[in-house]
Amino acid sequence: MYKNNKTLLTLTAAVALASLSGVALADYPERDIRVIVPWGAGGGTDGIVRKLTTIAEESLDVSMYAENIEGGVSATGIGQLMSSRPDGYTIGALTYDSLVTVPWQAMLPSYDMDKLKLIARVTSEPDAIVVDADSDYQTIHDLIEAAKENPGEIRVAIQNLGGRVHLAILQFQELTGTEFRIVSYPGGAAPQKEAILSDEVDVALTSLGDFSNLLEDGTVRGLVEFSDTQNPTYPDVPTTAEEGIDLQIGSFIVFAAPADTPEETINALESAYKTAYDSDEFQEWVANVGVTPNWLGTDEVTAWADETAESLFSEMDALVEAGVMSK
Amino acid sequence: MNNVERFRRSSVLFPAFLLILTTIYLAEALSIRSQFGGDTLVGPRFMPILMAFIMYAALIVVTVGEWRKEAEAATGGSLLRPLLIVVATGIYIALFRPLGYVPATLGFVVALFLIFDFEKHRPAFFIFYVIAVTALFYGLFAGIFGVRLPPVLGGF
Amino acid sequence: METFVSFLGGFEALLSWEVLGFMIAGFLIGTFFGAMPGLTSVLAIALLLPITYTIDVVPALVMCASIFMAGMYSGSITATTINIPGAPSSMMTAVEGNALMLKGQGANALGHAALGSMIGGSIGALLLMAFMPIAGELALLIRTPGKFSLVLFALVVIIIVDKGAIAKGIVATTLGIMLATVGIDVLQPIPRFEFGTELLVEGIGLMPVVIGAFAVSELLVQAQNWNLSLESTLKRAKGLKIRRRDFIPPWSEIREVGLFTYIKSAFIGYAIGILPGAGGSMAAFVAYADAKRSSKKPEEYGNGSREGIAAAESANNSMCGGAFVPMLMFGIPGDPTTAIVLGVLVINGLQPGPRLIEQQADLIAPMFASLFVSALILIPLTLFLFGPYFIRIVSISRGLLYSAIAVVALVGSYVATYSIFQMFLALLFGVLAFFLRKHNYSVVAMLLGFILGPDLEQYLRRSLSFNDGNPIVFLTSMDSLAFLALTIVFAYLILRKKPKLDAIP
Repeated sequence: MYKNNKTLLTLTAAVALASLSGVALADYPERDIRVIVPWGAGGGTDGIVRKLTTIAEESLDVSMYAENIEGGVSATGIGQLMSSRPDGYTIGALTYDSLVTVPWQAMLPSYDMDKLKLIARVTSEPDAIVVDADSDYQTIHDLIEAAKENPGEIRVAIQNLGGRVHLAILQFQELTGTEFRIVSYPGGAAPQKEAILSDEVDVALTSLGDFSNLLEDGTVRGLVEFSDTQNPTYPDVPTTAEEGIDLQIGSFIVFAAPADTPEETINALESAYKTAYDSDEFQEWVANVGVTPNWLGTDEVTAWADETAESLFSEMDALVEAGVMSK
Repeated sequence: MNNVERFRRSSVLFPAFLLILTTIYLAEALSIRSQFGGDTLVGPRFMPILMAFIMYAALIVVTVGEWRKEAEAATGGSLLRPLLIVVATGIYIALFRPLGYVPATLGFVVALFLIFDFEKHRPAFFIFYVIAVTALFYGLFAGIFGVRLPPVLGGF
Repeated sequence: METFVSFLGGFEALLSWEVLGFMIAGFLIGTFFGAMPGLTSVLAIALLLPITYTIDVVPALVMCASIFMAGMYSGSITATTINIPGAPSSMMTAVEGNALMLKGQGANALGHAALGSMIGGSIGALLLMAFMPIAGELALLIRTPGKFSLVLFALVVIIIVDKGAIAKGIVATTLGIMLATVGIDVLQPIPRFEFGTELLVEGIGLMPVVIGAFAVSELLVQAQNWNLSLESTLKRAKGLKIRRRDFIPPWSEIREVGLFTYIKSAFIGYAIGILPGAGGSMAAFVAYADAKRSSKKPEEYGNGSREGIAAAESANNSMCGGAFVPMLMFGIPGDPTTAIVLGVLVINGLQPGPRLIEQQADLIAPMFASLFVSALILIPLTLFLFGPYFIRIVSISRGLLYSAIAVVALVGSYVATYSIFQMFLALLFGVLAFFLRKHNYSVVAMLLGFILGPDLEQYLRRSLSFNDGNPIVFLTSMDSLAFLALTIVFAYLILRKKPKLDAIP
């Protein structure tokens, strides 16, 4: 009898403990959350992620710290995110390259988007063409005409070959029937800035936000933005939709967690980041640095991401077939 | 000094070893394919191939020079200790994540102390210092800087 | 000159206890990180980044500046005492300083290193304040072909600076360049030399190479000579009874080095600093090589040249001032530390450019003041207060010391990338560097080849792409022509002097 009572007691205690810990588990978060940034500290992506995260951690009441894991065009950092424990204490920030370039190039066989659950998109930043203010190009059509007159002569600064910006200029050339001399400056927008300032090139392709300080002081001029909605921070720069060019492309930042992270955790993260996104502090800051906020929540972001990736894959495949690049 | 002995001198074997590495490098370099346009000179294989050839030339000069040199007195002590350190370090690295920082480092420091003959005869001090070193750097990395060190028997 | 005057106002900001406190805290942290093998001042700033968001922008910038200056200086501490430079920029100081240390003159060597850092850092900070706009514009005159020739100049100098062993120099430098090609190509997103593995796609990190080449290899060298170093232990013991006075270099020695050497090296460091991408190690090396070229006592180099220490340390601390120029003027970071400082500015809503410099000088001027004060006052003060403890590092029983170094170096290489593979690479490079040293190949050359190789390749391929692969571009661009001419002049001046007797040509 005594033994049975003891067993019963133990069982009851065990069940009680289990339910308690079940309750405890529901009390996410209990400790610090790691946010993987697959780019270098001090860069554009890093800045946005850190700013938003410092505001988000206030609603979660724990410390959220950013960890820069660079390499492989973001493959290294996101690869680590994919193999992290799905307990909600590791999340990461994906960019265009993580979603498109790395999978398409098949650089890391173990890299698989199915290993991730996307939480939300926070910014989506169209690319643009900027030119030296001293140059003669006042509108995008000036540039197109000049390019047609001198095929292969006008230098355009892009970032990595095979990356998003390169893809943009290749498509632009197809659509407008032009040919530029494409010059690659890997390492973000900073070397592109240097190239324009030192007069090595007159034209660069990247987001307006990347060049915000030069746009502000008038050293460069934006000719067109690859988007269908006017950018409120730069009202003088027309969109490609306005100018009759059917091209929209840009970078974005999407937060994600490993695939099996529990739903309540994802919801908690989504609402924390949404609150941070909506805050005055973030909205003002973002307008100041020239970045475009663009929220898409958990329900919709995965479909959007798949669609975007698919369409970009088929565009890249088309370019391979046209012989412009090889895989 | 006959030729075979000359060849076996480590100062000649080392550049010879580098020559083999360079050949592997060159073979691999020739299989690099550029992704964009028919770039011949400016492609991704140009620099590696150029470096390989420069390396060959320099290595030949060095090897011939070392060959011609008269025998030098052997310098330095035995290679046993360095070898033991390399082995111990290799094991440490392999076990760093699976065992976790604390057990792996304790073991590593024990091994190093033994290799360096440190406090072998005073077991109390030995144990004290092993723990002290492990704890000191744990405090530094995990404590002060909040770095994530692999947990005990954690894996990741 | 107006801007210079407005920048002087920055010193006022240092008078507040809070700002002063951050400067000193930053300096101490930077000193510690810069000295420890396995840690760098860049890591320090990156780890402190969250803190910089919670405090005001002025103390945050002041702290970043003092960490930067301290890190550049403190690499010389461990370089001199245990022959393991805390940062690649102190590689040359390790060669010369440690040689002096083994002769029992460690305190003297540390004093010269501190003096060089002090003078170079102050001059760099002053040049930053006085000439930033001009320097910025000057830097823009150098474009891709010019950058290629500059890097080529540095590499050629590395190879010929030890003219008794040019072939070995070529081997070492080329080896470094080859190792740097492993990983993703500099321009295209294709992996190279990954031999079908996934691990090598991420490439070989700089930290593991530095840690392996210096810390691990030194460990192995010491282990090999374990029973033979009784003599040097005695010599070190002699240097242990030091008084604080011993750290102050005698005036006669300073005059021998020559004020001109300090100033020239500082200018070289600043000039290299204003070019984005060139770093502290290149600055230190070029200044060192030039000091050796124009030295009246070139035979001292390699055996404990105070002149060499002065040149290298003066240049790498002066580079700190220069690195801020492109970052503040154009938003183009000159090196990893200024890249992070740029991030701090942006997070606080500040945009680099003329507007920041003219209208918000009160926010950034304290940062310059911090650079200057860190160099002029904190460096000598630190040495004076802690110098004897630095020297006493070597009085720790060797077994304990090197075991501790092994742990911190390996864990340090893990922390940089959270990668076991990079730890393993550190070991591998340690073994490689061990054999390089044993057979008299320059590890410094290999490392500089590794650091500068990717830049060389990127600039080469881009310059050639301007003109359909026609290499004439290197002669038609003025900047490139200038550096190529400089290379030839330099080579002639160095090689003209009679080489050592048993030289291999």
